[in-house]
Amino acid sequence: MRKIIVAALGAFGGTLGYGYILNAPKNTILPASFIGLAGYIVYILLGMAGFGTMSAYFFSTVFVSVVCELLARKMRTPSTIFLLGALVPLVPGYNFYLAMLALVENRGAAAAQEGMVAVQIVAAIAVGAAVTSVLFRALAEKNKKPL
Amino acid sequence: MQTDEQKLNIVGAAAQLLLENGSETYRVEETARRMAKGFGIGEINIAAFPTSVFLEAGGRAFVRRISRRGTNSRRIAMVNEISREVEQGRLSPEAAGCALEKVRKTPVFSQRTMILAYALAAASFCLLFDGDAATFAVTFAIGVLVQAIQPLFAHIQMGVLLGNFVGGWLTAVAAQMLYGVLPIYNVNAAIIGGIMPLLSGLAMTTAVRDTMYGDLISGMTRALEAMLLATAVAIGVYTGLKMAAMMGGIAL
Repeated sequence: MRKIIVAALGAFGGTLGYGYILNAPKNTILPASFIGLAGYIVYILLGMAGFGTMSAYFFSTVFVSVVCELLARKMRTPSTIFLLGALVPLVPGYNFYLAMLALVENRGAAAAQEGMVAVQIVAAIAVGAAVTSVLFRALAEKNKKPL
Repeated sequence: MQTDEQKLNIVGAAAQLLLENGSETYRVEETARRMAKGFGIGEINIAAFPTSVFLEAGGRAFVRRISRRGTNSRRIAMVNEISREVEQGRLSPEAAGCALEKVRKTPVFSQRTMILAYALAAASFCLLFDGDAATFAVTFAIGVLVQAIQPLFAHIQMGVLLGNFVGGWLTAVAAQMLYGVLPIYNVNAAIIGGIMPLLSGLAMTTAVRDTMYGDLISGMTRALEAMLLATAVAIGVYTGLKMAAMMGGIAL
């Protein structure tokens, strides 16, 4: 439980700071931070529920993307603006770093392993976000209610 | 009333602004079409790539090279808003041109805000990787340092690449050197938190999205850029870790 609260704080603060780095519109930074928080919690819960690494990342990304798309429609602004910030806690910096560390310590196999995991996670996130946004656009075109 | 050429230039300026600030390719083409419709330009042809944009309408052309690319989602939102008003006929070409000029001049956040934001992001991310309060404080300090040197690379060629390399290097070195004096924090968490805001895993999202919309060239270009930037961070961290390891193997 304590771990979840700390992670929630981390995800919230991280997305908040990153929103400023992206020069996001001021009224979107706070909502995006809450989505980032919720997305990371979903990721942790999925992990606890026994999902594999890839599917946990994929489904939490889908969750984040859906919330971002809905909010973007409500606030009439491109969904990318929420998405860019809210997905950042899921970026696999951890595996990326472990791969570098293994390289420095001459553990080639471990480096390849961790690097591979990082690439897989990035792929899961990218595909999750892309699939959601493509689906939402297809739906919007069908309803002739663009945004 | 403005001529078709001026109208085309205004549409082009909007497309250029979107590309310069990191918008997806389909949004650029969609925005240009929408504005052309609002201005009453009959048929418009557009081809947009992350590095260049071509527009043609009634035999006139607008061609620009996109030399500076960054992410500024506020400007994307503003151009989006303008294009919608143009589409609904609420904005004349003159007014739209002025509005776009204003978007171009929209101030970015000050360096002081950026330093705080970067430090907050870095410090918060270390919490996701088993960082405690001490690690939070150390990562915050490292974040201040990393963002403080970024303006040095803003105006040189390949500046982003160099900035990412030096950022990764500085994070790794600072986190390990401080540990020699102050061995109360988690070095690994501090380094990971410090490099998280540099990693452009999100550019990869845009790359995949472009590819799925059929903008294959844009997708490939963005994927390449994302990988290049991530590699720069990786080499930076690698160099930093290696240096520390050679200088006596500070405990990891």
